[in-house]
Amino acid sequence: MERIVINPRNNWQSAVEKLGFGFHSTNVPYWDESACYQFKMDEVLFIEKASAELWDLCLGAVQHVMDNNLYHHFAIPPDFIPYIERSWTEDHPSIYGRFDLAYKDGQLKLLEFNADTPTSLYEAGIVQWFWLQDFDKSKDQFNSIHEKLIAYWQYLKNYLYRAPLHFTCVKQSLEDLTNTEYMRDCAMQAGLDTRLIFVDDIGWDQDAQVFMDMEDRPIQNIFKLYPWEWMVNEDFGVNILRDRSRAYWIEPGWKMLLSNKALLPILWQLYPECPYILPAYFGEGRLSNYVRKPILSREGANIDLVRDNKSVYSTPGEYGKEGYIYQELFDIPSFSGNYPVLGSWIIGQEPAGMGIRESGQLVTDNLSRFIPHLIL
Amino acid sequence: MKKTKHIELILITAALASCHRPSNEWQNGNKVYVRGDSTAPYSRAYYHHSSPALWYYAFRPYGNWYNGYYQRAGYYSGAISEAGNIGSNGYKGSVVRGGFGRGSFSVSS
Repeated sequence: MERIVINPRNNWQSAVEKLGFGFHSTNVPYWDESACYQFKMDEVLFIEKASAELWDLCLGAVQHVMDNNLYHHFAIPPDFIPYIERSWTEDHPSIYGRFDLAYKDGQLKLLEFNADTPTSLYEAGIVQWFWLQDFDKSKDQFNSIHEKLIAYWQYLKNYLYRAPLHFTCVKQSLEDLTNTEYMRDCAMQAGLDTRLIFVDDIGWDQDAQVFMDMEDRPIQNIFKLYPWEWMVNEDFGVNILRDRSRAYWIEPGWKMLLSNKALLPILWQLYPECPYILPAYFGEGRLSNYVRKPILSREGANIDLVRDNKSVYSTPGEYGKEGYIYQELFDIPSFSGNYPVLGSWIIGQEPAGMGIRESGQLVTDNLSRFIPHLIL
Repeated sequence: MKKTKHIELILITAALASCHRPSNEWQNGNKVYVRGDSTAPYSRAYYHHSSPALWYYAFRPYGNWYNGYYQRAGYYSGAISEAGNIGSNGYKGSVVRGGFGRGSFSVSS
């Protein structure tokens, strides 16, 4: 793996905006094509194989949590436990997730699993593919996200209710809308009948006890770019349990166990021999070099890096009330002061591609940049 | 070869390219509708039929000629679905909205 400095395309902003990528910059760059990462094919094959193995281990962890009633580690409202278990035993449809991985000196380590509402899908699947077509179309890229999304929506069609598939996200975020509309684009290309509805427009019919869309029709299948941990604590959360339509929510309820960082100590307990899993615990005192992470947090908030039992770096935020885990500190490599995290996408239960975000510090946060990659 | 061979986008790029031209997508009934707030009471509209039900309206006025005089029955908007545009307060009252979305900032992760 190497990082090389390159020249951005002339008028690259216009090029990415033509793709519908409108959030390429804020007051700091987000999409950054002044550099790219290069991999050898055997490195990519290694990342791909490790991602497939991690997915299998995660499914085993879900079953273990259910079999041993370990929900108390996850701060999940007790009323939702039967629902989560039903979504698992009934095999409610799931389409994607993103492993965040550190890769250094041939070692690959799982930092966390964004299993419920992963973003940067559009950048990884589309924007960096089109960048490569301009930069050097003879080169390869670990990226079959687009094909796999369409193929898996085609496969899932037979498992959904014979009703439209709704797509929902918050109103105020162009990034969230782009991620959601890209998913919907792929579903439409797979032949599904889709609707977009913003999350605060979702209705609840108090008489019929079903969720309703803006045409006052019941919602039976719904993809949400909106996290379970928010939904279960909102006014309509309890209605998910009352819903007479028994709508399928994608990602399904059982993903709450994988998108929660309480997963990490569970994985360590179950699979200590796995070379991709870092030691992790629910309590302090077992590690002297560690990262303390809230079990529920986003974009690197409330992270504390501790070396030799002294905090060396921490990030602010509003998270942490549900509790923390302690994961062994693995130093992400520095490429001229840039620290990359590999986002390995699982689409339809298979590794599908990779997107890389880098930061000027050890924690990937909301100022991190998306850097394209290619395979030599 | 690890990359997708060919990519086509039908929604996002079409939306950008169409600009002021309505796309087929919009005519196929996949509109994103403006929320007609079902929690708010609707203003009463006078209508020449003697139905006891209250009819509600929003935005653009519509009405009827009655005995040579125009009586505005109410307002409607193309941004509200037909199902949300006309009806009675009794039915609308059973659907409530806004129970999700308190965490209204980006979910970026």
